[in-house]
Amino acid sequence: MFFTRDGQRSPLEVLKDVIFALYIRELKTRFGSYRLGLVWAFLEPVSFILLLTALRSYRHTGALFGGETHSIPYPIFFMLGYIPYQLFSKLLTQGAAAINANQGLFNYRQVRPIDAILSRTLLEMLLFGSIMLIFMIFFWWFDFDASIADPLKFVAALALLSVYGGGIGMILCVGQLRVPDIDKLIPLLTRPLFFISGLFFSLSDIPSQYHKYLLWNPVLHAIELIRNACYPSYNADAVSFTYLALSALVTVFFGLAIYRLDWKRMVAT
Amino acid sequence: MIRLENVTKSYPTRFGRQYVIRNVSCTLPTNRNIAILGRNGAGKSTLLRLLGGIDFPDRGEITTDKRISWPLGLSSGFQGSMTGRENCRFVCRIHGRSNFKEVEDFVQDFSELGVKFDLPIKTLSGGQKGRIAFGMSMVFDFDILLLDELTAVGDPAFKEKASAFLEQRRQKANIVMVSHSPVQLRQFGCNLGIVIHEGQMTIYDNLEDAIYVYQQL
Repeated sequence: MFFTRDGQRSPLEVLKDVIFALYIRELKTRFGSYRLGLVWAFLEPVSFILLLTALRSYRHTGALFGGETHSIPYPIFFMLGYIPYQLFSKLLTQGAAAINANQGLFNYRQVRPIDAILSRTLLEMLLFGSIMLIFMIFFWWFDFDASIADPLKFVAALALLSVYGGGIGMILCVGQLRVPDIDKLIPLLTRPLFFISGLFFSLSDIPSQYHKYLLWNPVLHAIELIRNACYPSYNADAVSFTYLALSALVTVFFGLAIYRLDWKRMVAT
Repeated sequence: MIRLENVTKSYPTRFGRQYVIRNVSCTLPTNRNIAILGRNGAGKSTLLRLLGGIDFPDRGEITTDKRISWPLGLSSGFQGSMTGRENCRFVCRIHGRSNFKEVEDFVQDFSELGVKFDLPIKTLSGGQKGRIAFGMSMVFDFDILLLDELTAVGDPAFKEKASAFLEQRRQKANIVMVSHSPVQLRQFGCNLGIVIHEGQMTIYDNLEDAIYVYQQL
């Protein structure tokens, strides 16, 4: 009664509409139900940054929040390590839970499981990207040497990390059909990464003969690349975009492959 | 036209595969009102979901050029943590509509929920959810409406209003309906019957034939 028939939308337009709808839905449920909403997204990194910065700065300069490491002020150094890591681990948990959280919505023929995974990946990437930017502005306002020297590189590293995390999220999500408790692997994966992904050290702090034990980890590559994108004098010779991009490509390939095999079982009731 | 080509749908169980339909090829006319009959667990709802494109066959293909609704009786297409209004918007968005306001006003009015329309769906009763779901499906212009055991949506007064709207809808759209009640099937003007039994699907050109066969099962 309200609508006249419109022309058929192309599959791409439907995809766009559905992802946008799910994106809004995720935003609403994510932040709508908590009184402080978005503030929580900042409190967690702030506590990490405050603690580590205070300790490191005090040891090295005798002052709180002073000093820098590898040409990056301490708090920014930790922020640029912690938030990408947080993005990555969130992508894993959110991706793995994407289907269960949206089960009812697959009752509409337009909505397919992959839309849920894609919109969550997009949301996490934009969310943590903006959090980093807001932190940067914040630090700049407090007279720290804040900089994003190469924004394109910054976005590229962030996007590749998101694709990598989204790919693993997709594998975990689809894998649940065959291995129901696969999501118990997530903490097993992310806890060790907390310590070996360069959150509170730079690869240059590690003697180079040990680099080979750390460099298999794409998250470390991403974090070092993000720091290097912000501060060109930060040494990132040991890490490579190629490796990060290949890791992303391989995980997404596997994610899509098992998705293609199993996606019908996800919507079956 | 809804075209089924070599469609097989089954469920794996501990006792082997349970077939809903097996190797079915047929063409369902979309200018008729179709009744789906069968015993409990025969796969009526699954067939309805297959036709609606929200469940998928193991093998084969189902194609149509018509716009098919979601199963109207169902209110499981809601996200419990979102309000009625937000759910409404979600459905508008995925259908590529942007006149949220009109739709929301209509559904709020139709469901007679008042301010409760802005409460999370999970806090509403089954009947209230059903009202919203029904209101929403009245908003979109579908060619084919899927009705799954359309019983007891709301109290008598609401039921009357719902029937009136549905009647109006049926002027422009045809229905595919699952029901155990021959009376209801006749009342909705079904004139083609499908009986599902043990993996076989038989189409009867006359509803009464289908009802007769169904009652012999």
